[in-house]
Amino acid sequence: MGRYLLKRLIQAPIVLFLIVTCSFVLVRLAPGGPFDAERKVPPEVEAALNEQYHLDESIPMQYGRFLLDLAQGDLGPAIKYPGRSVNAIIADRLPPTLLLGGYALALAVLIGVTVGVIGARLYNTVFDHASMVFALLGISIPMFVVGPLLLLAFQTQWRLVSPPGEYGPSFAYLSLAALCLAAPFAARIARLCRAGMLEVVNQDFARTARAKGVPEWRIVTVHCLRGALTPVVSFLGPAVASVLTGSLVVESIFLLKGLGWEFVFSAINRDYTLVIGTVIVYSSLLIIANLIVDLCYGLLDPRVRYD
Amino acid sequence: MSEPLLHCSKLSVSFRTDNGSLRAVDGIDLSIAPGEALGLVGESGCGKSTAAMAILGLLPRSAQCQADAIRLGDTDLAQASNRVLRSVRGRRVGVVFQDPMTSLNPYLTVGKQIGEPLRIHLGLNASQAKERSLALMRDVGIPDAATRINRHPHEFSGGQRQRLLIAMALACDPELLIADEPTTALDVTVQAQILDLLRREQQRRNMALLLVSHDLGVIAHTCHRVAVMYAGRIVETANTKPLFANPQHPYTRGLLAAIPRLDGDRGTELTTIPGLPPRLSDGWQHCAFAPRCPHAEGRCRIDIPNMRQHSDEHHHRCILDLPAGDAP
Amino acid sequence: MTETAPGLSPGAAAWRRLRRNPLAMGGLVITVVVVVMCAFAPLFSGHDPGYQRHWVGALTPGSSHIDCLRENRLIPGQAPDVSPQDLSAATTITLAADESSYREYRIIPDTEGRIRRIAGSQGELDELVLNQAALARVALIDGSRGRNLAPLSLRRGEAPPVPLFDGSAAVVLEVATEARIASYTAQLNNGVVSAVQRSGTALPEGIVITGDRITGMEADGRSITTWHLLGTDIEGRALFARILYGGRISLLVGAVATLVSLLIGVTYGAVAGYVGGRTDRVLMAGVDVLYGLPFMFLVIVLLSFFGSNILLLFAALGAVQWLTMARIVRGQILGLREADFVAAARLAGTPAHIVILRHLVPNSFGPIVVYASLTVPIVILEESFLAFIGLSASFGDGQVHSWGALVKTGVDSLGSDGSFAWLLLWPSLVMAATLIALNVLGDGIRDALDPKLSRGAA
Repeated sequence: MGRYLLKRLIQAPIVLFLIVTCSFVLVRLAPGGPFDAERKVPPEVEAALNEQYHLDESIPMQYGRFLLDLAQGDLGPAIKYPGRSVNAIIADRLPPTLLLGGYALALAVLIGVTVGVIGARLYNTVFDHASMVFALLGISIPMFVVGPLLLLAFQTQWRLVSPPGEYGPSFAYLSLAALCLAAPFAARIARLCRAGMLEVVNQDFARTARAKGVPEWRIVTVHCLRGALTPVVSFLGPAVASVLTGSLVVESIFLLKGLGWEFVFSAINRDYTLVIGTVIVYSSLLIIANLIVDLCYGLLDPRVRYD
Repeated sequence: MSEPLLHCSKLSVSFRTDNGSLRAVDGIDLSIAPGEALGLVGESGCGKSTAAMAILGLLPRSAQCQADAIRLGDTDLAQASNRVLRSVRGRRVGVVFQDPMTSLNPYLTVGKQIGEPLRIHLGLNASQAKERSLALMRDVGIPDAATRINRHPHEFSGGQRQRLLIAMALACDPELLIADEPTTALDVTVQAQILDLLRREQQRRNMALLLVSHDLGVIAHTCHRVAVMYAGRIVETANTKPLFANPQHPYTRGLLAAIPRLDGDRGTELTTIPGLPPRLSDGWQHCAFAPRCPHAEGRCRIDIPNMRQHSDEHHHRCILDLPAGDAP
Repeated sequence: MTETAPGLSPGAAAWRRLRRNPLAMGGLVITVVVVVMCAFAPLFSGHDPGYQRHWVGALTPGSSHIDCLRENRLIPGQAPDVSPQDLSAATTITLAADESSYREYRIIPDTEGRIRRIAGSQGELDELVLNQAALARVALIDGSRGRNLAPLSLRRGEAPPVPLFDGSAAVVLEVATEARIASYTAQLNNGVVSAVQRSGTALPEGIVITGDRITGMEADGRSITTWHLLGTDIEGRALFARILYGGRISLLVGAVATLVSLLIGVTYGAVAGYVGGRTDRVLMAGVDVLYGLPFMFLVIVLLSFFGSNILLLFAALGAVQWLTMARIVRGQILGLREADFVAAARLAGTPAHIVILRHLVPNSFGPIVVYASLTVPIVILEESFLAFIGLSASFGDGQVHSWGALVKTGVDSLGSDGSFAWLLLWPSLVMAATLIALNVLGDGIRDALDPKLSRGAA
């Protein structure tokens, strides 16, 4: 376990470095600069701006400078926000995204596992079929369709939630956004969990438990749930990435100004430093999440060896 | 014979499949006296395991089970509710399965698994259950039980896992132990140890045993009485010695002849029963063994033979009177 | 207990199982219908998906409008150029045109939402009064939200009396000053205009009228209108045509990006699985590392910095999906490599690439097909996601957009009272139906190719 953790901890900075280099090269190879999107800036102003952000130096020089700053935890100044650092902007925008993403993941696991387990227990009943139809809809209908419809219903028609005010979104509003983000993942988890459960309850050890006179609910929860959760856990790694991607859209639909919203804004506005900064933060989140998921395997299945 | 502990009458099991219904067990009668060891023997696919599993209602969903009665003492398991069935499983009847590699829950420690029936049926608390589990593990011969009780099944060898399964089945001191091919998945050297363990525990606890096996050697080693199954029916039943000495049904004779002998000449070919076991869905209108039987006559293909009494406790399902000593 | 019927190849047996699955067959039918309708879009909709009719605006599904062009010409000696329809058989064409004069005003807010500037074509104004007679149409400068306003007066330095800005940077007001309808009649002779009159007065030069002025159009007294199955969007573009043509992008990206992922994944996985050993470990460790990358974010950076075109989209989305494919193929090949027929081929001296292509890949066909069929809807969903944030490809001079972009337009157009709902509803519905159909079909193929995997059998 310790060795595995160490290996992953060594691996993480390498992956991060790859991502940093990848996005740096991608951004700098692209035609056009950050200052030619809007109205034409006078050449002398542009030159001054380029100098200020060191865009006049050679690309390797810029890369070196960037890495040096990054090693000290400094992501540089944001090009499109004069006077603000990328660090400050990220510190500002990250909490809403973390809150939304974490909330959505929790909802997805809770709903998905519950529905999946009940569906498997009630195999081939109305509940089972209905939940699988909903799961299919959840997988197939994009969240940017669900989101506006949810808002139209809950905010405009029934006035159950109100848009985020001065102190951020209300709990009900945030729940709505999280639900919208969670829906496709809940659907996939429900399908995986149901399939896993159906497989596990037909295995020999479930029959052994039955032969011992163990009540059905205990067979499901004590004997089978862990096995059924294995495919769910392996889905969670990629799911974290998808939740983060999904939050780009959900944040813009629900007007939650988080990191996703900032990322899209900075990408479209060619804010070099902010784009790379957000990508680094997202990658770190992803690496941490994957590490947690891997460790969860060991908790679920005693047979897993980390080496 | 004294009042039987278990008596099944007209037990039938059929499976729903894509190609219609498949009758795996076709109206068998089975009795086991208290403390008796009964062997159920037959080729693979003859329905012996299915019959054994049907007693406790442990069949998969696709199976349909019918019986006039499955009496265990004064309880009729055929009519029993799920609650009653659950209170019998693990408490009055223990089960040992064929494959110890998959029959233990890989996610739980062996101590938890052995203790589980104790906690459910006898209401023991965790520490009491652990204590009893420890004793059980020692009984079935797990060395170093005290430290290994918190291990998971994958840390045990195949033979030890089968011992753990036996410990689990014996936990509540059942009146009957159903052992479904308990040695098939094991190495030959381990097989004998497991059989000895089963026989020892059976005698020590004066517990009835239903031993399902395709191996007549295993049965001869362990059981008082034998029932031979063929194509979902019992074709011959007798005490072990008379059955081996004087088999009446040609199928039984074939099975006995097929056992390789150490004392035979090296040059002699192994005897086999020609042909394949019948497909169960065929719905036999006559003796199912007739197509493979060396003695079959025209009348064998007319009707399904009834059980006939050969001697006191020796019954068989062949209309022919085979000459004694015909067995090779 | 599933038995393969005798005499059927595995493929045929799988097809038979698929045919018996009504859900999967429903998915197949819907998929085929959608693909055929999009591929042969001109057969199903006569409209140009990119043709804007600002004078028409958003029409509800099933409604009709006067069928005219951006510029309508009735010029003696030429064929009439007034309508997409063929009017050569007509003898007279009558156009009713609104001759009111229009003015545009640009209203720019300050940070507090008060009016900073009112810019008209004649210069800056301090005050703008729109009376009852004036018909005002508001268009946001960055969007296209049109609505009619009651009489109002705007004064510099004051907040507008109605919520005019809605957070936008500037608003363009289009104001009609007076209403005056004129009637133009053209006589046709063998499909050529012979004479044009305006309210009885001859116009020897003929006329050119822009589409936004025309309020009525008749040929031989029969009014000429066009019907729109799903209505039009805010720009007056035919929604049904837009969905069909947009589907071409979505489906094409789904299919080609899946093929790309197939190509990379199968090659990579086959090499890793066949060579095995150290190479395999290194290659698969690479896949593990790549799994940890936030691919979609890199795709977004790529597309937003390099500009999105369809080739980039194929490559980018294919690159996101190939990892799982590589793992599946590698696992299959690793298992098959030890099979006797492969050993036989190797002993016979067959080169490695032939063994892989001839023996290993075809025998892993089942899982490959299953995974590929389930990848298509995922890719379509991802493309729509990119389109939603404005990063997808477009066809036809940027006028034809994929389904995700249509949904985005629908979301943007949706009024807070639920108005313009059809612009969100129909693209969403078609897209969701296609994705459901593809998913159901993929599940069905999986169950048909690998009965052991299906949960139906106990």
